[in-house]
Amino acid sequence: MGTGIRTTGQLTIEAIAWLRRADEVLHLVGDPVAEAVVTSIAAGREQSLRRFYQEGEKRRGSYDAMVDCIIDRLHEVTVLCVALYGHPGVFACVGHEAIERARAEGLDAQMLPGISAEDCLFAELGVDPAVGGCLSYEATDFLVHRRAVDPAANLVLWQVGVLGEVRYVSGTFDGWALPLLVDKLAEQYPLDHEVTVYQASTLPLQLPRVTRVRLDELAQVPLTSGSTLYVPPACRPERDEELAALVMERLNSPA
Amino acid sequence: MRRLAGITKEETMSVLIDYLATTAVDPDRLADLLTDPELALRTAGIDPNELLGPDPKPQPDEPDIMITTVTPF
Repeated sequence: MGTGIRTTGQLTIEAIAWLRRADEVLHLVGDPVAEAVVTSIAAGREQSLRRFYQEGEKRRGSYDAMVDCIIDRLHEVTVLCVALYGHPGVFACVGHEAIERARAEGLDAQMLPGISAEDCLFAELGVDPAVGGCLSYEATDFLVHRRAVDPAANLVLWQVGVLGEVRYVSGTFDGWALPLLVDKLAEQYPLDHEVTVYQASTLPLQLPRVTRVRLDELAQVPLTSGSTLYVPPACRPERDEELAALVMERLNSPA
Repeated sequence: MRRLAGITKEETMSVLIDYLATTAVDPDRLADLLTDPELALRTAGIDPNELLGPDPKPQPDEPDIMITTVTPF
């Protein structure tokens, strides 16, 4: 289950119910309020997965250790609840892999949706992914692969604040790869195209961090591990006249 | 509406975290916080002046965030 990005307000009734009824709760949440919620509801039967993060080590190894821990505990209790911040299946490989392994072992497992950072972004930046379409990539993945970019669509690049960093680092990031990302985006977007660095708020009444800059100024924006880059469309999509005519013909024909 | 501006005192932070954690599982308390944060915080024993910033500046008629969108077809 997910605790949402802003736990006070985004924790679902369903999630609260499982936190209350589970024999044991494992959690990996992003802020002290979420941690306080879990530790108060599941007092005496919860433990954090944060201990598997090791400073300077690859995050992949930490995730594997978390999944191992979840499966081990699942063999010991009847109802195990795993609480992850945001949506437990969005940019959260631990949730998917734990469920896959549990089911492979014949155990019942389900994922409950939560409110992800993307949901917050759509709401707070006023973006509808159905208007223009929306491409969504992890920023480092986008940088190191030859992805197709459609400048007529919305583009969301996650974890841009840890671009090029695969280790777990608790401090600030130097942003060494940001100029490379700007160069890559500049192949499709004008350098004066306005982009938005966004970070959802984690507390009620708190405003999100929204910084709008020209693309060529992106490397100067201070980023955090929670920063997301939103790039709005720069042009209209090219229309396929033949197919568009077919659709319009059907639209105008009697029912 | 006044917004959370920042938290500096460790003692206040601890009380606030406990308050928000309790509020997360109580829709009535959350409604109180969202509609009248000053009263809600004061009722919870938290000095709102330690947490809330000034009233935001009046917003212009135009939306704060302008986003280029396209319409299919």
